Order: sequence, then C-alpha cells, then structure tokens
Amino acid sequence: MTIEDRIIAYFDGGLSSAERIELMREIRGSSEAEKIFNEHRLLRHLAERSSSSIHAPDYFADRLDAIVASAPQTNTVSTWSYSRRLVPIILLLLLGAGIGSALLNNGNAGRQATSLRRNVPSVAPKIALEQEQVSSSDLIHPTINYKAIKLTNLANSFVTASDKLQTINQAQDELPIIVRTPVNDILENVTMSRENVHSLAELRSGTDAMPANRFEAGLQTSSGFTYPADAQSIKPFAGQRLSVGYYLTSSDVVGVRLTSGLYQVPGSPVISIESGVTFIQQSLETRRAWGGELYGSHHIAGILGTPLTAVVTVSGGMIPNGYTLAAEAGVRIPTGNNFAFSVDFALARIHSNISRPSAILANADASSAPVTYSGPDVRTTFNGSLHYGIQYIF
Amino acid sequence: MGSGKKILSVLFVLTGVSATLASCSVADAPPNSPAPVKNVADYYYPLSDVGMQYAYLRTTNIGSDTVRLKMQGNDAMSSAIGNTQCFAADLYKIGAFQSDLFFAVNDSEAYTLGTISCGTLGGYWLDLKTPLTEHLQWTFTTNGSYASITVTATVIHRGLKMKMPSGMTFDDVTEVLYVTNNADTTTKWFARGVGMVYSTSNQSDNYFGSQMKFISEIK
Repeated sequence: MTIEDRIIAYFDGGLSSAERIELMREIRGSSEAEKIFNEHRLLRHLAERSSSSIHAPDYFADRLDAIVASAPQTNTVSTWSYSRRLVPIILLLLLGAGIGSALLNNGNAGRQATSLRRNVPSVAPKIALEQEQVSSSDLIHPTINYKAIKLTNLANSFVTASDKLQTINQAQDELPIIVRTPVNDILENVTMSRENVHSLAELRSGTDAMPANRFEAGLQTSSGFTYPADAQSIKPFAGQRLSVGYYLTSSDVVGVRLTSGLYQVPGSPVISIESGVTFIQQSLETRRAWGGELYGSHHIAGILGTPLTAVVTVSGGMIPNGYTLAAEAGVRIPTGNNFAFSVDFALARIHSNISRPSAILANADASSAPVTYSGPDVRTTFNGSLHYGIQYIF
Repeated sequence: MGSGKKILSVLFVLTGVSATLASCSVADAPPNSPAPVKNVADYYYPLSDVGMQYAYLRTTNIGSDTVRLKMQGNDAMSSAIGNTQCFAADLYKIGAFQSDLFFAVNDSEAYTLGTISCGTLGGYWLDLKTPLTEHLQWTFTTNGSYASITVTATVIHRGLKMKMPSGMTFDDVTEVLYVTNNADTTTKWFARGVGMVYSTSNQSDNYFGSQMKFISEIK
C-alpha cells in the first residue's frame, strides 16, 4: 500500500490507531508525503463545504458523502477563529448601542456569535463538478485535475465583497498547511457567472467588479451629543434614518437617506415691552426635524482578517431652513446572506439659516424706542452620534 | 493596495475632512451666561476722560431737549464713600450751562451724587454694584424732596444687545431697574465702554427727565 493509499484510508477512516500514528510520523518526515496529505485534506475540505450542492454522478455523491462523514473537523478551527474575534466586538457594540439584540432578534451576544459561526459555511462557494470531466479516480488521485472543477455557483453565493474575502480568508487559513498551487489553480479557473474573477489577487480586491446585488437598504437609530446644546447635551435615540443605496461597484455606494433628527436651534423670538423698550428674547431649543441626505460610502471588506466590512461615508443634506455635513466611519457585521448589523460613528456640522442676533436687531424697529435682544448666537452646532441598525442588501 | 494601506488612506481622508470641518468654525460658542462684572467702571461714564462729551436727547415734563454731559475729571474736593474717587461732569445745553454733576466710582460701586460735591453724600444714587450679574439686588437710601427714600435696584438683564433709535448698536448692555419705596421706577441701561445709554423714569423732575437717550459721543 502506497503512502497515498494510506492517506486516503486515513481520511476514509480505514486506519487503525497505530496506523494513523505511523502515517502522521511519515508525513512529518517527508515533504512529498505532506504535500499529498495536504492536497487530499484540501479536497476533503472543499467537498465538505460543498456537500449541499454537489452536482455529480450518484457514485460521486456517495463518495463525497463518505468523505464528508469521515472528514476531520479542522475547518471548524478557522471558522471559530472568526467568531472568537467577533465576540468581543459584538459585545462591545451591543452594550454601547443597547438595542442590538432587539435588532438582530438574538437574545445575547453568545447566540449571535453562534449564528455568525453557522453562517460562515453558508457563504462558502458551492462546488459543482462537471460530470464528464471528473471521475472517482480523479477524485482520489494525487494529480487530480483541479482545473476540471468548476465553481459555477461561486458567484451566486457571493453577496458582497465581504463574502468573497471571507471565503478567501478561509482558504488562506489553510495555505500554511496546504500547497498553494492547487488552491490557486482552483481559484484561477473559477468560472463565475457574473464576476469572472481569474486570480486570487483579483478576487481579494474584488472592488472593481459589479456585485450580484446592486442595492442596499438600511434602517438606523442613533444616540449622540450636540455642542452647543440646551440643558441636555446628550440626546438618546436622537435620530432615525432610512437609507437606500446603489452599488456603483462592489465597494462604492451612493444613496439617499430620509432622516429624522434632533437639532439645536434658537426658538422663535419672543417680543415684549420692558420699561418702554422693545425686548426680543430667544433661547436654544431642541427640535425634531425631517431631512434628506445624499451619501457616498466606501466599503473595505475583510478588515483585520474578519468578515467585518469597514465603511466610511460622507454625506450632506438639507433640514428645514438649514443643512448638514457629515463624515462617518463604521462597520458592517454580516448576520446572514443579505443582512448586516451596521454601526457608524458620525461627526456632523449642522447649520441653521435662522437669522443671527445682529440681523434680528438690524431688522427691528427702533424708531421710537430702543430695542434690546437677549439670546444665543448659535446657528451652527457640532454633533457626534453613534448610528446603529440593520442593513439589507438586495 | 493592501487592506492596511487602504484603511490608512481612508483614515487620512477622514482626518482631512474633519480638519476641514473644524477649520470652518464647526460650531458656534455655547450661550453661556455673561460673566460677573468685577469692575463696574467698565460700564460707567468715562469720567476721567476730561473733555469727552456725551450728547443725550432728554425728555422732561416740559418737552424734549438735547443736553450734553462733559467730563471734567477728578473733583478737587474728592472725599467720597469708602474708597471711591470723585469725579465731576457738566450737564449743560449748548450755549447755556446748566449744572455740575458729581459721580463717585471705584471698582465695585458707581454713584451719581447729584449737584452736591463729593464732600456731602446725602443724596447719592447707587447706579451699579459688583458682582454685576442678572438678578443681583442692592438697596440704598437717598434723600428725596421731602424725606429719605429707600431704593431697591435689580439687575434685570446682562449681556444684552441694544439698538438705539439713531441706529447705533451696543453689544454688551446691562439693564438695571430701580424701584423706590414709593413705587416710583427708574430703569437704566449701561453699555460696556460707554456708560448710560438710555434711561426711563416715571419721575421727570430729575436731571435725566423721564427719558434720556444716548445720541453720540463728542471728543
């Protein structure tokens, strides 16, 4: 029995404990044996992840079932590593936002982490093998014709650039122990129905290709501070916004927002007569107003080796008798194929066109008696807010 | 471009945007209450500026006239309340001298002494007192026509903007209401760096009449 036969038997569960130990010893001592082992390991890994959508002859499906059933659970290490990185981030965000669990329909961060862990395989490529080019002997032969494997469902399984990078990151987790050539061969020969990615690098950047889903819709609420402000500078749940965006590329989005927010503006002037003098008084007030915004976002997928997508946004819009300008930075946390939990921190300049005191005084009639004015000279405020909500990509 | 470089580039752009926002005065100053005034002389006549004249439109029970208040500097007989210095000013109509008015001022108090010189303080009027903050009250007793009267002064507003009938504006004005035990009322507005710019009173038989409007300063 050749070493490759024993490796196959190892994955098929056909070796005794002593034989497995011996095989491992040989693999550690031989780079050639390690290469063969890793090739088979990769194959099992891919087959495991694609077991739900294999289109192959019956004998091949049976074979894969056997492989999957006996496959070592090495894959769970890498997926758990994502979840382990995500847990503290998610906990922090949920604690800060306060409403994350409600938005995600998850009772706690632990359950969310479990959900994320389960979601990772769901966005992995689904392999379809061409019946006429792949045989069972190909499958078990060390010179298996990887180029014959077509990942025809790959494009369909990618929702965003984040998903693509997630897949690649998973593959790269294997690279230190898997020969790179077969991986690259696979990726170089991926036939994607829409994106036509031809290399790992292109797939990693993935920013120029048009995504399969071209729109996003988001609903967020926010809490933040305003400076200057009336008595209450912190405004919990100050804003809500509904956004609809269009993907110019897989990483650049433009869109519109309908906003409802709390703004600091001087109240309507109150005019009275004091000691024969016309007295005009204003005070700073918190007012809710509807507004509209245009925004542009840039997405950076797979930050820090996680499925998170960083998003930076600039926006500008109109509020009643004023305008807003804002810069934002945030993350998208995938919670499914089409949903993401979104968190953005925004710094905004809010300007009101309400007349300044000097203008109010200039327009006041002082022909018969002096006019006095008391009030804040505040027409521009600086807002910082944490927006959090959900996003749907379609 | 690597992911790290991309993030750095984006952070660089965001920093630039933030700096741009900051450079164009991101927010207006908060509407804090005016700080307490520690030197009431800042809101009083420039008494030591000898020769400076203020023109006022005065309304009395016999009509309106234009009067001038000409600063004469320190009074030679200065011996005033506490640590104040005594100043004199001529209140006159053009071509006709009317009377000398005397004032006593230090950092914490400003008095109108009337026509009686600094040596006699029976009829003074305590115009301003530190710390000059909204709602601050003080009382003083002064000699009326027939009997002493007690006056309660209250700072009604601080930091007012004020537009005069002439169109002149002042940015930092203090309004003080004086109420006597006879329910007579006088209100005066003092502008920082100028002094009294307006007064109203239901008693017209005083030097300032029922109304006194600042018109201009003449050097």
